[in-house]
Amino acid sequence: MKRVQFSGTPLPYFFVLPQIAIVIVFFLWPAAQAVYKSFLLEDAWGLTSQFVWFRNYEDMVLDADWVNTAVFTVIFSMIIAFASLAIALTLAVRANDILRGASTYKTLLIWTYAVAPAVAGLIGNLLFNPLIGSMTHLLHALGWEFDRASNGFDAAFMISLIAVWKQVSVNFIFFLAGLQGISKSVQEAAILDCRSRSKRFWTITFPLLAPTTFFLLVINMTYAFFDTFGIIDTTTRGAPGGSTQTLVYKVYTDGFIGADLGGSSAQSVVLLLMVLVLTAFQFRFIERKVHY
Amino acid sequence: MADIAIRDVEKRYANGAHAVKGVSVDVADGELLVLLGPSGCGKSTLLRMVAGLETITDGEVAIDGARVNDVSPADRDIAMVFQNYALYPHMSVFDNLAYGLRNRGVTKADIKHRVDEAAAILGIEDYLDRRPNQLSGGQRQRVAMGRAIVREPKAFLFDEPLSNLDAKLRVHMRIEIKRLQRRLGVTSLYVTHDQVEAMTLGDRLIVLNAGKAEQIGTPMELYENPQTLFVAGFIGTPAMNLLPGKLENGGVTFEGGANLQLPDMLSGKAASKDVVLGIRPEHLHAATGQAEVGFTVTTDLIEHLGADTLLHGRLGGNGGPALTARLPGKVFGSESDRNGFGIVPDKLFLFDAGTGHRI
Ligand SMILES: Nc1ncnc2c1ncn2[C@@H]1O[C@H](COP(=O)(O)OP(=O)(O)OP(=O)(O)O)[C@@H](O)[C@H]1O
Ligand SMILES: [Mg+2]
Repeated sequence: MKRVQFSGTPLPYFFVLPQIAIVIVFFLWPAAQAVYKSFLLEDAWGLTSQFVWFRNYEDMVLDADWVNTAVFTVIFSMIIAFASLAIALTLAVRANDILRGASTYKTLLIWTYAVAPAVAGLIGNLLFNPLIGSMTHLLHALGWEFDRASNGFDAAFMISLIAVWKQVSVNFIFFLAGLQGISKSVQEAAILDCRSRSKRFWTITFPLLAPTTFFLLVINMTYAFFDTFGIIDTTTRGAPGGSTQTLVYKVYTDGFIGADLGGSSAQSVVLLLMVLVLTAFQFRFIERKVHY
Repeated sequence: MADIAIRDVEKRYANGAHAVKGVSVDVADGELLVLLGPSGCGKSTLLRMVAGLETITDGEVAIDGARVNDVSPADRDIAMVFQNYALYPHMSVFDNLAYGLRNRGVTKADIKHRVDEAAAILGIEDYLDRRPNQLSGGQRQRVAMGRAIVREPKAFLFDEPLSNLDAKLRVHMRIEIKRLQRRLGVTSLYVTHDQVEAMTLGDRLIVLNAGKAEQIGTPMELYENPQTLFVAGFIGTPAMNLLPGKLENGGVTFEGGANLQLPDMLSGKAASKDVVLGIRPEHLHAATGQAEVGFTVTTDLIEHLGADTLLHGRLGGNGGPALTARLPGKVFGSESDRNGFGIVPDKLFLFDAGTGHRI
């Protein structure tokens, strides 16, 4: 990393002022509010509040609902991250080999990036509609008694599928760029050194993509944690019985629907810490390890 | 070790580019053949077809007598050294050398032995644990060579392996490659566009021009007996003087009116009127007035190179074709003192301007 030293003049600080203002107003201030609120217990109408130290946090981790949601979120995120990375990588490797019509393939694969999560959710709703959804029909035809309304696994399967479908495009772009960044002659040297195509992929291509993969892993985890909100809100709304509820969605339902501002603030502070750790981990790792 | 036979090989790329147009050449066991030619003439394409990195549109490549057109690159038992070295950036030098052996099922002990041996030959023993990005250009070059020699392949293929090095290191590595190739006796194909490199390295040269072989021969054959205008102009520094003119009654008339009487044996064979007279700068000497062809040249610039001196001027005065002469040692006097030159008749080359062929 290059470090630049500004000497004396305050001018550079003036130029970053708008950015800093935005960060303060839209991020630091609400974050501080959340931290503050997480120490308060408010009555149901929000008229009085009481400073309760870590009570909200205690309640949170002792709450079986929250623990279930946390476990679901972690598994859900890992599945989404892994599946969308694996699919995107496979597609990128194939697209990278194609010479004719390459740009058509790429456009077709990339366009879902432009679909907003909520819209993806609506499309999913239609496809998985219990009566007229073509995916429902397909799954039924395959012998799977798919029932998104009452079966938690089926509902989770549906939102995972939508979330992965939406995320593959971003991963695809990055993987394709990463693949195109691998020196052609290095790949050719490997062709002379190793007959097996799959072995070449795992010993040369994949390690050389490690920086991209690692970066995407963090991006995808963050996506699965936070950006799936729109999909969940337009499809299952956490149903059946909270089995498709992620931590973020629970913050929303507890805070805005359950009106438990203190508890939901405590939850969002925990989420904030998770993101901080993830990001810090990414920066350290990328700076140190996966750089050639 | 093996011989390589290239027969009527053609290459048409998917975009229609006709890169190689029917080239045939045989590389003998242990021989180093240089593919020489200007940029874009198809040298790399030909080499890569031998390696298997490009498909062969037509014709045949045989290694050790066996046709390899449809054999996968890894099974052709050849090793290639790339222009930018193409080392695996995520592997140590040791692993770079060992990778090809591991994939061929060589035992661990044998790999260690072979890598150590190759590293000792190339003087890279101290770097075996390093990553390629921790090495200098010259060291990387050695590692790339090492990766080729540990494999003990039937043939080495080099694609301009020295062009990323500075001039001094290039000369040094050139000598080293030559020694190594002699010592190991491995059949080699070597691509370069540098004619000095080609002359010093090659047992034989094949000069390519726009996808066609212009001439194949030893460096001295090409120098002394260029069969085409292209080869004549390409081989030798400074380049051969090529003077276009018209053949008239046993002599050549150049632009600007200068006329040169040719020996009968040359002028008699000419079929066409438009010719090009070729004169190597080093074959010219100060006029002696004896049995030779004499020139009058208006010299306008003298370059002192130390061992030699270059004289630049125009044949027969202003308006005549440019001519360069290279005289040994130091030349005294000013430009105006230097205008009489002579050449032994059998050092004159006459080419047909239309076909480019030697007359
Ligand atoms: N993959 C390709 N697709 C289409 N045309 C190509 C391809 N590779 C090379 N060519 C064309 O084939 C011709 C020969 O290319 P080649 O790389 O063999 O030249 P070269 O003699 O090695 O030149 P240089 O000295 O610049 O490396 C060129 O005209 C080039 O544009
Ligand atoms: Mg080339």
